[in-house]
Amino acid sequence: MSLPFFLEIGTEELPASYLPNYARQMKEDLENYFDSAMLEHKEVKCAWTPRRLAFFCAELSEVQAVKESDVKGPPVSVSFRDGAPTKAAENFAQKVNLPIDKLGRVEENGKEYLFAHVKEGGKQTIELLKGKIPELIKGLRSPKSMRWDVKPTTFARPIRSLCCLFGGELVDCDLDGLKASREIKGHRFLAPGPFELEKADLEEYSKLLKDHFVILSFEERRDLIKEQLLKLGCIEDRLDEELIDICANLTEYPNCVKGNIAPEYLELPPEVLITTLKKHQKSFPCYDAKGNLEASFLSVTNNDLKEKELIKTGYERVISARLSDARFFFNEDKEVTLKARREKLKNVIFQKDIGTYYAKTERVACIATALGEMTGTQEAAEIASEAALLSRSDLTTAMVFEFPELQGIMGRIYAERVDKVSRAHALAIEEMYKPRSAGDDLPETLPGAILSIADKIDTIIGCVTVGLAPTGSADPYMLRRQTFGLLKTIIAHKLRFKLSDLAKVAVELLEADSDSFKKNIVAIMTERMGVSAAIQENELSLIANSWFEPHSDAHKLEKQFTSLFMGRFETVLKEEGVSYDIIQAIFGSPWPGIYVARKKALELQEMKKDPEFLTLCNMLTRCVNIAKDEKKGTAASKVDTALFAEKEEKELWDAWESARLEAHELLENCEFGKAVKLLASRVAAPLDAFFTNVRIYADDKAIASNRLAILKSISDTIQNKIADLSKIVTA
Amino acid sequence: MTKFEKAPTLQEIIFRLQKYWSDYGCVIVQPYDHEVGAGTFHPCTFFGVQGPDPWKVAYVQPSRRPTDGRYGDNPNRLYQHHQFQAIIKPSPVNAQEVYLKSLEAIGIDPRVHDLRFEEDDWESPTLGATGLGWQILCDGTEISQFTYFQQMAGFEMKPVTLELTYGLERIAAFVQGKDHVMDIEWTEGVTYRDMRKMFEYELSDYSFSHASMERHWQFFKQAEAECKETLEAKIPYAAYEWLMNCSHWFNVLDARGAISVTQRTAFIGMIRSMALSCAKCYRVVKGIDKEEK
Repeated sequence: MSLPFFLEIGTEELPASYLPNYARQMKEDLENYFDSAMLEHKEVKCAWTPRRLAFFCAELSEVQAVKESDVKGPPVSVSFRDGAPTKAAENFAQKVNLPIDKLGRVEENGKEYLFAHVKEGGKQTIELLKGKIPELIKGLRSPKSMRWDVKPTTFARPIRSLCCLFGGELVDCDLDGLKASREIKGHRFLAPGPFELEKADLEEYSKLLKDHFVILSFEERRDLIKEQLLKLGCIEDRLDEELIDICANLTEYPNCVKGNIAPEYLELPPEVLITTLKKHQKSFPCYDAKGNLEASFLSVTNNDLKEKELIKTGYERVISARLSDARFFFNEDKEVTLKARREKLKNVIFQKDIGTYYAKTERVACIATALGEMTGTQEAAEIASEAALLSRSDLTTAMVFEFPELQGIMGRIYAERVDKVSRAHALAIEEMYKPRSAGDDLPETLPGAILSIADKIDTIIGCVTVGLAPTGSADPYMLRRQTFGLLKTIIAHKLRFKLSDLAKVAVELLEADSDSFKKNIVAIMTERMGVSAAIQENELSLIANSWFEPHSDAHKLEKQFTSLFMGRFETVLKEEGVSYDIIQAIFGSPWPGIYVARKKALELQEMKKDPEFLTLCNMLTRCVNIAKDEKKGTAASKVDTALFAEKEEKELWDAWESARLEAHELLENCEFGKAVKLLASRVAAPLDAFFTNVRIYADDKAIASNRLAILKSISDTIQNKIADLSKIVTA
Repeated sequence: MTKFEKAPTLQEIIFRLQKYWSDYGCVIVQPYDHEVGAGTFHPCTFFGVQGPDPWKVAYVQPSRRPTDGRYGDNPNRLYQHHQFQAIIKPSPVNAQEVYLKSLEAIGIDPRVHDLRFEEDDWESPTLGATGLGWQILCDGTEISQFTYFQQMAGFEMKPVTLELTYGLERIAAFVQGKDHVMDIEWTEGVTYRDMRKMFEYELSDYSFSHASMERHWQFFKQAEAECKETLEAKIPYAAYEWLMNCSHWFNVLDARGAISVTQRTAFIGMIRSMALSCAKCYRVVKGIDKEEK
């Protein structure tokens, strides 16, 4: 027989971001426990609001299953000494939970062993739950936890009530003195209750909660918020799902209120207005049908809005104060050009071992120019290089100090409005940061792309150089993400160059910088020392030393750098549906640069549908294997047509020679798919015939060497010019 | 409060909070007569939270933040604002309810407002203190800070102390419906401007433009030395006063833009080390811990 099980952990307001994890963790823990305790059960459902985590299992077995088993113990010969049981016997008896004189004997292969027939389980579930529930609650983990009052318990916020029911019965558990009861609290202000829950019944619980102004389901709260936002002035494609989720996890009874903004604030850049609303007040901007900002906002309250005007006025006042601050920052910031602010970047540290943002932007400008030379995009690179010297200056503005997420965006806005640079320059300053996150857009303009690549490669090289290459889950400067963005940008803008060449430029610039950087730091610190008697001398030397950690050796650097790039490049390819064997095939041939390698991979992937291509791959695998097996014979350095003895070898050679010339032209134009198709259609069949009808290792050593030379010519050329096709899985 | 009742003045809010917490069982103490950046510096909190004995106090504490000075022009930023603090050890089971009742006492009815407890992890690196709790938002305005102290001066809090901090100017502006702090009614016929504007202007001007950096470096250095020497005499209250001075002078230097990023870390480290020593000494003198041999 089974009964429904219910648990509510009643808490003070839990941090919104902890809720889903807490609930899912506990659900898993409960299910794992039920399984391990041999309690048959249905799925455990979980739900949450800021003040409760609730769990429900529609069917949980009332009694533990019984497991019977025979257990063999130690040999009788070692179990007793002089008639008294030894440690071995005692341990066994303890393990099977029987007194020693109740243990049986069993004979196996002529040897006698202790033996027990064990019966496990059969306990009442409710008894098991009593002890286990508090233990499971204490086992929950959160990013930060706390103690409260005089309790030893730790949790994200204080736990104030526990309701645990099995069928109609109260599971009488005790969490460090907090006793389980039937009491459930309603909405803190609108209907605090508490009310009592008679039995473990999710529907009843959820309904009673609703009567007490609590919507149990996160999804329901979220949809409700969304619906109200759309009704009151948000538009579908501007809905901020992330913020909606946060609001749904901050409220038990969400209700949106619409307030007005003084129209003059619409003169602020839209990004500033939106960020002020969202970040400071978790409120949503309103738009007209065309998608233009309106002079109003929406806030998600946790109230029934009986006194709507009162709440609306409160929100309007605080939002108006925030916008007034933002306008103050904006106007102050506009007094100084980005160009003039640049000096201040000499005091802003990018990373303590790498140096200041000032130095970084100088390097980035040089890298951008170099990239322009490499890719023949000098004109765009010049814009990028000029933009580099205005980039990061917005770090010194009040607005970016207040809203760090606006860096780059404010750079673009101030560059255009204050420094009066061209649109292209301004856009590049913003696009340098792109992509900001995994799904974010790539830089759209070419100068933006060049600047973004230059900045990222400088960051990556710099961090790897000072020992910040990502290891395992630790990647504080998000180098993996930056590398990923860098590769995608190169691909999207079809930039053909060798990344290692650009990396070399970055390394050289960094090395030149690090010497002058050291000198600078000493100068700055001595100057400070003059004023500051308070800083102890040893502290100073301690700080100074940390700047001067020796850089890792070049070889190790190159390895870390390569592994970082290749790892991300693999991910880029996998995302585009390229299979692992193709990636291996590409890596097995000389590196052609990011853009070309990707094109090759995609075209080969497409070719995998072609049976002729697969035959060619198989043939090439044979070629490679034969070429490897040098014991049987080595290839001649050159194919001598005079030595041809069979028609198949002549046909193969003719086919190969003509196909190779045509393929060469295609390869020059990076038409890998076409080249491979050509080779497959012209060479696969004769090659197959060759393998079938020609004995490669002819008795005449010269003929044999000549045949091997044919195969070597084919496989070397393909491997060097296209990919190591023998790596491709054809089955 | 009904909608029609007149909103309390600033001084009325203080009276009501004092009455409420006095009725709850708190000893009402007076502001500490030293410059501090926050009510948490008051020795009744800094020392009071140490050790296992129950402790309930409440007080107003004027708090100076030189970098926040705006010459009395900004609608809500001030060089010196006033905090009301209630300190309760151990934190009570019904901590939130007790707090909410205090809001009703000053004219904020939680049923008709949008009152929210939003996650806020508090930390004071200078005091070596951490706490978890919330900022309390009323219709989007932060009116209080609700903190379960976990650590003070590096010592784990056993039991846990509850610290409630009311931003008095924020609350007064909120209940009186004022957009600018200077418009707050201090008492009938007297505004905040009448009482504070000149002070705000002059102290902002002083901190940003006149405070002698040279002498403040000296003050700091000497106060630090005095603190250390005083501790040798095992009189932690006396030593702690010099820590409060150091902290304030550091803030003045900071407002003058005289402190670089690396120096900031070093300064905070020095003040924290003083805080740890003071608390350690206090616990020994109080008999909470045995003296280390």
